[in-house]
Amino acid sequence: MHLTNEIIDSVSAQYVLGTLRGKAAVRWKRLLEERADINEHVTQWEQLLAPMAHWLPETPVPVSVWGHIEKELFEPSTLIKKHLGTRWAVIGFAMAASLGLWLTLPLSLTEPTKPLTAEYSTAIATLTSDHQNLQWQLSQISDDTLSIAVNTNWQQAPDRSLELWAIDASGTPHSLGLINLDDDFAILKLSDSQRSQLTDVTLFAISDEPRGGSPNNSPTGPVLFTGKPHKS
Amino acid sequence: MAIDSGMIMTDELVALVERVGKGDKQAFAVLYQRTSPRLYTLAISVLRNRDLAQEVLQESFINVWKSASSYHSGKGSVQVWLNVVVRNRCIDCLRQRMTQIHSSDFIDWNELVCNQPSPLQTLQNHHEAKDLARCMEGLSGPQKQALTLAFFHGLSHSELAEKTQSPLGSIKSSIRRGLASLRRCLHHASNQ
Repeated sequence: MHLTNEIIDSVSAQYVLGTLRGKAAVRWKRLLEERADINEHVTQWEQLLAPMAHWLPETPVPVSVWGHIEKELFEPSTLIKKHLGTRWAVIGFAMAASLGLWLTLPLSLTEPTKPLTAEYSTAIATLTSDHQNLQWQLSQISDDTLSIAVNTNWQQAPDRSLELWAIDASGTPHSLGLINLDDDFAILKLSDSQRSQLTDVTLFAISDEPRGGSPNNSPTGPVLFTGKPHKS
Repeated sequence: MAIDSGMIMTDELVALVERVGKGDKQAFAVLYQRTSPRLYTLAISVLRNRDLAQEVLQESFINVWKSASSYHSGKGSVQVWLNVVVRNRCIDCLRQRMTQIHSSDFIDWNELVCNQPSPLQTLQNHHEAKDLARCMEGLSGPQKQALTLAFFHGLSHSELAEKTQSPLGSIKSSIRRGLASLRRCLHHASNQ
């Protein structure tokens, strides 16, 4: 069958829209892989219709989704299983551990997926300053990962560090780690003890500390930003 | 650079994808955090099943990690590229499975436009979305309804006919004419 440009365009549009089904859809998928002209029409329609999705509101994504992605892509057991099979994975792991290779792997790769304590990835606090129009949005990406986003550029002095604190009901500060901003965003990976602090927080705070963080497990420099946890 | 979950800077996303393409896990986490909530809504609306939507989102981002190095502007903006990746997976999923249509949570075009803070206001950086919204407004009621249901809920022609209680021929005609009008309108908008 000779496919005119008009037919190609019309069928490509319906393929992208999803109304083309059954054998017709299978055939068109095969054709678009074989023919550059069809591929081009499909791509044009994809780019034309896809922006519709921008109109949708956002829905909090369950934390487990990111956990599965991390596990699938970065967890060594998964990678080794994929390449060597389960039996050899155990042997390989034991050998790696005995050789001390574990120590060379990034922390995020060696930690198994933890049980979930938060159902959704969501904003947990907004930290603000008294005198500046700055907002630091603290979110939980996964059970043991927080993110911080700044609403404007933040110039960090090279000899200083920002440290995030969780203040509990008794007023005791617990460090949640240093904030290493990458442009306007930072990821904080929490240890087990840091994660446990998230269950009893009355206030989050960010202090300006000597490079490397507070020397005595309490804020020593000025507290720049504070924010109460959002009510869940 | 300003951050607002509803307004993601295009350049910022391009920079993130470039870093993801070079194996930067932190950039990948940031990209996920900033784009996944809306993509999740898209997957839920097309599949009408949250478990499946989570599976598709997961598979899509695994694919994004593996294919980010091949991203280029010819694939559209990053947001458009991600929308295509997720929606194509949803449609493939629908084509492979027989899913029940639950009509209770269908999106209606008018609700989409009226109930949200704004397709037009919150998306100042997405000129493609603005142009498309304006062009959609110019379609007839049945065309808008058919295209909206097909795009957001992945309905086939026969499912659309059943849902709208319209003859199959009318549905096909509405879709065909609506798409043709959209293309003309968007072509006109891009030339202005």
